[in-house]
Amino acid sequence: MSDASPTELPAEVPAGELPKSERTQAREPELNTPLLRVFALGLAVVAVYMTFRLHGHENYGRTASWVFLLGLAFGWVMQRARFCFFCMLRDLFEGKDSRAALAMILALIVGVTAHTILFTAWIRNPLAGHLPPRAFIGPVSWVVALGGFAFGAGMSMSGSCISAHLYRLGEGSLLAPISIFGAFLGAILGLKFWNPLYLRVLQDATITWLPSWKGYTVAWAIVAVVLGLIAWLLLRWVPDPDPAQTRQRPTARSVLHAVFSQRWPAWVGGLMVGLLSTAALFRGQPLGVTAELNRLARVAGNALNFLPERLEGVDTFRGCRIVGDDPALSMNALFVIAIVVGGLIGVAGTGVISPSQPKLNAYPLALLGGILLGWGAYIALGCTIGTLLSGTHAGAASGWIFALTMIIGVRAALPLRWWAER
Amino acid sequence: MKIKTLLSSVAVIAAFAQVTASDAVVTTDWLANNLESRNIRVAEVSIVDGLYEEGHIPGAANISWHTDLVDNPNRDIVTKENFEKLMSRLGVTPDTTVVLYGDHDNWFAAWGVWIFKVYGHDNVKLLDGGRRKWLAEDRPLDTIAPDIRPTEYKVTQVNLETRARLTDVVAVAEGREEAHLVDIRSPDEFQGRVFAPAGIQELSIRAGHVPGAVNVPWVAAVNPADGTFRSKEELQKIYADKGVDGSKPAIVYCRIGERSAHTWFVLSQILGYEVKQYDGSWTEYGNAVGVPINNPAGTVWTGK
Repeated sequence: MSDASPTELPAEVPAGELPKSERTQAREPELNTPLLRVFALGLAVVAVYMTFRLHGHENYGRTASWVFLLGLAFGWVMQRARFCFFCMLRDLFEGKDSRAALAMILALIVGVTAHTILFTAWIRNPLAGHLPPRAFIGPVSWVVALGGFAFGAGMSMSGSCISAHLYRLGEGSLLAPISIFGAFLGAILGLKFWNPLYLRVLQDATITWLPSWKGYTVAWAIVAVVLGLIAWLLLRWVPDPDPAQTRQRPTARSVLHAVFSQRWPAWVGGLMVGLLSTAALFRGQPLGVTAELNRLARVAGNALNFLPERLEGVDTFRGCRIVGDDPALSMNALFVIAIVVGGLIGVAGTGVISPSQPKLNAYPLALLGGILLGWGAYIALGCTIGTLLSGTHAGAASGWIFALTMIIGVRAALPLRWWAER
Repeated sequence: MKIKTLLSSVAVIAAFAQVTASDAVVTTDWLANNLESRNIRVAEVSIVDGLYEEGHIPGAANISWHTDLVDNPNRDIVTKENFEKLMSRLGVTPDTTVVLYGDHDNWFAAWGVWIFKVYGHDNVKLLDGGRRKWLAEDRPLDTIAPDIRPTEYKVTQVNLETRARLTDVVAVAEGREEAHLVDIRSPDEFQGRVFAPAGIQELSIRAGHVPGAVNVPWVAAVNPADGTFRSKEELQKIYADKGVDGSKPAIVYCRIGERSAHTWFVLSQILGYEVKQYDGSWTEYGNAVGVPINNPAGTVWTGK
């Protein structure tokens, strides 16, 4: 039932059983102390206290409190279940292991279904030409396709997408800060590209919301059938169950161990991400991790006189766009901080931290890949979270295009990953 | 882009000018385009409890007529202090444009406009067609209440000249004052055939109307199809046909004083007449001792 965490696998486990992305980097002597768990508990208490403080704070309030809480949960869930788009694709392409990909499909169908239920309350007639409030439904053009491809290539080069880099900060990854800095540089480049792309392409691009074609039922059914077919194709790559693992009656101790120490089965992560995404749309704003990065990039770009004074038409789109110039912590900043904290709680809760030791080649690729991540996410109005997850959940055609070209980008640049780990 | 923005705002302004009866009213299109504006606060004032919670215009706050706009347990309009609290809770500053809308073609939203004007917040508008038109156009609804940063709103002037009290109405009925009296209830109530419409709890123990009043049911002012106000010219004619032409101040009333706010809005905000709203209305007047009453049907209260 449960996936063994890499750190718990005995040495004689055949390499094929271990997802390649987890085995390629040499491991340092790990930090293994009960104090880590005390730290995790303390951090969780502080984080929950923060959500209450935000709730009552005159500059923040209810929505901010929800955004922070959902960020904590999202970071924790991603870390516990290794919910990582790049790992998912890599397992599939290299290890012929489809469990993570099936979890992703589950995340999509759960999110699409729950979003559809919400939308029926908000938009009684989806054919009337109005979009549901808040949902990230972006413009459809080759720009989002290009953004997806660049982002996918950036994932292969840097080793993961932006959200996974965020939760890996807590795991002590040495490459994640480099890639996130690269993404910041990439976002500045994206801002530089924005006006021409907007004026030539995006201004006339249509914003396609799937339910606006033939209604909720047809849109949901198409997604369900497509995802069902893909899942059926992927079933052949589900590994055989481990015969050594016997099912035992759960005890309090074994449940705690399964929740806090072991990696969760991938599907638990998929289920929870589908629900968290819906909760985010319902109680705060759709999941997205790049709006604050873009805002910081804009501040920096402006300070260097590198950017145009005005970004045309950004306000007309939904997605991870820059909102306001509020110097205080934006909603998205709170969310991103919460993801990092949630990931840290997740890893410290296991009681073991074992930072990876990347090869030398990996460092420049982390930076270059990061730049592609930031650039792609900027022009596509979001990354794997804002455009892919929140978008496809909301029935945005743009989200599906991003997903497709991102997968192609990941595959195309995968040889660079192999080089990075040589 | 600049030109495009400019053109689209011109188009919006043009649409705004053409479609509504006056600038005291905004169209659903205009509101949809301005929902994210920081200087606008939208609020729903509906009669039916739970409508707001079921789904409201995205970003709209809720105003409960029964608790926010009246002074419980007294029968009076909300006190100045409580109005300030309400406005602070709604995050309103003196510069905020407040757009009110509600069910029943804006009956109570219009009452809300009246209260806002009494307490000196002139920058208040009605959504033309109200909740009904927004829904009929299949526009988006939302189910969460907006997060509003409260303000410290202060009322600086109170305009009681838009409010008529019993003594003002009796003075007109007895011919001591000159005013058009407009009774906006149904013809059956006006004629004294019934004390109140079926199913209504708040009663008066006398039937009929204030002597000298003309009967123009509130619904005459709206287009039946979508609940929007009729054009200014049509409205002028409808009221002028009953002798209400703005040549004298007018006093409007109904049964408990809320629907009459709708007609008060039409006469004062759209036609620009001098109008007072008599919120005591028939449940005060018809129960008052020793005031003149005209009861064409002659129905007598028998305690049933």
